[in-house]
Amino acid sequence: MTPDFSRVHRFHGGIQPPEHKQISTTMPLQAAALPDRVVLPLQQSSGLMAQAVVSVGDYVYRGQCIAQVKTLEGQSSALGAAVHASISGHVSELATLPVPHPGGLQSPCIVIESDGLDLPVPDHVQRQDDWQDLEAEQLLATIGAAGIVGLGGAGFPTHTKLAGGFAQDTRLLLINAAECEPYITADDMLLRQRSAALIEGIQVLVHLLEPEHVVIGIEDNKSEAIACLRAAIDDDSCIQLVVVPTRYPSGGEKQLIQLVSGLEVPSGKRPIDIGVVCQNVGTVVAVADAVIRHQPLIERVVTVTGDALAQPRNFYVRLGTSIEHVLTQAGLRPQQLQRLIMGGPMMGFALTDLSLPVVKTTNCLLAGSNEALGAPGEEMPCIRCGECEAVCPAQLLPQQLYWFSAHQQYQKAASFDLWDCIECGACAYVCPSDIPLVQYYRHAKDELRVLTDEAQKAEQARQRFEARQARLTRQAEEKAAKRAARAAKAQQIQSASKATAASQPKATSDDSLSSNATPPLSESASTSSISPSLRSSQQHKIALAAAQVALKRADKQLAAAKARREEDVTALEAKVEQAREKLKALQNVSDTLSDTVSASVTPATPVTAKASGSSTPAVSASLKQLKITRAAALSAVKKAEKGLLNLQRATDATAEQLDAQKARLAGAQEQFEAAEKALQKAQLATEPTQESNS
Amino acid sequence: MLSLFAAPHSHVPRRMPQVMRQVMFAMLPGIIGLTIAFGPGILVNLLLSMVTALLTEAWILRLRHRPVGKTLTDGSAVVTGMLLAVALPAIAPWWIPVLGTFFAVAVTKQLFGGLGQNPFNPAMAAYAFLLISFPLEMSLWPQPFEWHIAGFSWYETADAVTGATPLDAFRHKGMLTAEEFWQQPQLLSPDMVLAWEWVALGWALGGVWLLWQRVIHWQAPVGMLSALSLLAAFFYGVDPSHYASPWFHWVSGATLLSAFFIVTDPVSGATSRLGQCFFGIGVGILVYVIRTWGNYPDAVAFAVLLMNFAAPTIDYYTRPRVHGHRKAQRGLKQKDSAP
Ligand code: SF4
Ligand code: SF4
Repeated sequence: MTPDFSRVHRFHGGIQPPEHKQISTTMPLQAAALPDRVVLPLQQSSGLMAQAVVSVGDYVYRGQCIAQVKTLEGQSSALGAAVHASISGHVSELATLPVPHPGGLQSPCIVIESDGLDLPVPDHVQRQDDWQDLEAEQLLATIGAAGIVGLGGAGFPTHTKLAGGFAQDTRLLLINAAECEPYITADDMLLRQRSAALIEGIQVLVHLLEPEHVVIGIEDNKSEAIACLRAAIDDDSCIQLVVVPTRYPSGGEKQLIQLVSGLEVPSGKRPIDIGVVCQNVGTVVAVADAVIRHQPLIERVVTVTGDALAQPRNFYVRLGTSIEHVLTQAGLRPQQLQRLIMGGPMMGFALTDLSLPVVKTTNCLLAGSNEALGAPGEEMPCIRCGECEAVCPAQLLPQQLYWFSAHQQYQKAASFDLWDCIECGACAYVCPSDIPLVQYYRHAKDELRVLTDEAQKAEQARQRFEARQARLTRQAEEKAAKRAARAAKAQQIQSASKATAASQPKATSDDSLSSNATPPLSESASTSSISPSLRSSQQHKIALAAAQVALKRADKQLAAAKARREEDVTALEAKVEQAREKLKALQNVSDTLSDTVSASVTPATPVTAKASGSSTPAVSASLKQLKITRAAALSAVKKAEKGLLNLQRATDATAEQLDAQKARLAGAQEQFEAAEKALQKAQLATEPTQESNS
Repeated sequence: MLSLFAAPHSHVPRRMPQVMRQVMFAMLPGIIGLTIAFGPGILVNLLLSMVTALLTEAWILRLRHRPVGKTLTDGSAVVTGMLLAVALPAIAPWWIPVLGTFFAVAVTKQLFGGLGQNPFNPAMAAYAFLLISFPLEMSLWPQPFEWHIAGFSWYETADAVTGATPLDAFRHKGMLTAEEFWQQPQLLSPDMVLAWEWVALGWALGGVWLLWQRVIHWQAPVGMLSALSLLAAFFYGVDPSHYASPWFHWVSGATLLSAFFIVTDPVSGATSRLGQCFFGIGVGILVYVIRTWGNYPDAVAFAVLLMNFAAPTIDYYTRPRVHGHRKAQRGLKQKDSAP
């Protein structure tokens, strides 16, 4: 597909909620008062967490890097964002503190107490090198070192995204100025004030990525910002300004790409896979500041709005400033503050703690009353009205996804393309039954992730188990082979000496003896009367040892289970009993066999025949015993498997229960295999004996 | 105290109870038309149906241990009762609307799991049930405009004044050609036709208002009406002496009532816009076929019920192409896509 910039395309569905934007654009964009204290989370990107490079008590300057991300092996750049001091002062704490997060997460943070001076890094001399002379790698490193992430809300490390664009062919550099969520005006106000900086940033990115097209996409409700942009763009510049209709979620990455170029990002792929790099306005300005003015990311524009504020507006806020500090400066009316939302009303998340810090992805603080925002109504049954489907920008069937998610049919939901849902909330916005659809989808996605994880883990466990089994068998075989070799040698020496002792002229004519004398001795006819019983005796010794080990293990398991006060020790007791029986059976067999062996070492053939003949009933009896043991072991395995299955089906099973059951299953499987092996060996041992007998 | 809610934090103002109120409001012109033409009996039916609907719903929710107040106020049961009542003959005995509404709410709706779960349109299922069980009572349409003269005594002589609906009359025209049929006022009085035209106009007014309010969408009504008109026009064009004109099909029976209020029922219809279009077309075709060659004079109820059967299949075959996918997944066989 080729991009088509000749017209504005459209995406499916979308909604037009009340904008509420003008309330925060009446006052100019200004810096908020400096806070006394900042809390800087180490995790402020969607990548890896940064590691603190300062200690408690250290003095830090504004703009000083205080936490860095390690570059992993095999990666050119760190997959994460560095953190910089946003004020000067002393590091007072390195602690795990609550951070803004939908799940109320706590995360490691650096706390700086301000000295009130706001001193920049002193040796921060303006570097003389012109950015246009920098190599791409150096540019990327500069951007990475400035700690820039996607400021539109996703928080993806910018240098990583740009590195991807640099590595592949970038056809389209798309600057996202749509800002489609209601209430938010941060990009709008930034554009009104700093359009020139945006153009500078675009020039840096063009220098880096060399795209074929550069497009700024902006919604048509920002006329002032559009005018500023038009003024800033040179007539001969390659930058194209595309004004798109106001329709949520036009600022969604995939939707904006479709709007300006007609291209669709294939399912499961990233924009760069079709040659598109999309960057938010704020991010591009931050890039300009970092590359041209050598300023790391220490502040951002935040829309502070809502009916709980006397002066809703936009601020430059230093990162780490507490929300309360920011809201207070916008004239917080606490009695009206019933809802606090970080981000917009469609995709933002609610917070309950005013002391949380502003972070790199905080584009909006929405402080409002229930009347203004509207408390969600009670969830009613889906009436399949199809309103959700009509507005879904991904053209999904939200009602079907809801049905499958609510009925725990997560795989089915996945087959209805749950993973293409961008969680924009348009469906939930229009649903007349007030179903919190997005919550259902998030939950279903979580469940699917857990399922995939579990499947992977189970697969790994299975592979480990099989490898272990193979190793054990190999070891046992090697041992057996060694012993057989040793025994054969001994036998050879013995029979050789006997042959010499007999040393009669007739002996040479005796086939059996002559071949008996020829080394190496393995499968020769003469030994066939001796070696099977001998071999089986050795194998039985191994089986005996294995059974002893199994008994000991079962005993131990039983003791452990008893210690844990588990209910079903009876199964384990039965197992111990089985192991004991098996051991006894094996001991019986080996007793018989050792008799046979001692009888058969006497060279006379008829005696051997007689001896093996007499031992046959005993052997077959023990064979039967072994078969019974094997069957019992098999049923134990089946039982353990069923138990595990039941536990997995049961929703309230704990991880401990599952693990215990898995251990039980593994034990039973081992037991079964041991029994199977013993049986096979015994069968092998008896067959030749019977043959020689006949 | 700050409260936690999940995103999105704002919602379109319209919710289900409002939707139901709008539907009730949109029925007013049609109800007025019916009342002018066939007398206040229609209002009695309405009242009986609405009360029965509420009582039945409350009783069954009680039995099922579901919250009564919340579900009653959603208005869906009342709308079901009203839709049935306006389809019933104006002078049907009192127990017809009561029994019918009870059937609609208790059997077709609640037995299947309540709101949103019923595969069949409750009002139409109840109508079909009544028509099959009590064909006589279901044909008690009075002569139009006569109650103005007769006043309330008119009810006592109701049996004497019942007249055939236009559809019924046309179906029983026997060997007469259409032209001859229209010349026999004793077979079908011009008043009757006029009355039904007024009623149809009432439904159309309400329907257009619903469309304008975006309570319903154009796909199903347009699908149904165009399929019906095309078929009618074709046969009328081929043999106007035996087939009724498209206009006749539009204004007679429950055509416009069902186009705007029945085939647009979200629960028992197809769910996607494209699917709704197919659903409407299906109803339109079936209505024509049953009316013309079937045994029942009006076919809307059966046509809708048959299409209700087909709705899930329609849904499977009208799945949209998801953003970023080359092709739409359609058909009953689903391939599983990896997460
Ligand atoms: S909008 Fe709500 S009620 Fe309507 S089909 Fe979608 S989920 Fe169901
Ligand atoms: S949240 Fe998902 S399903 Fe709902 S409208 Fe947005 S993309 Fe579609």
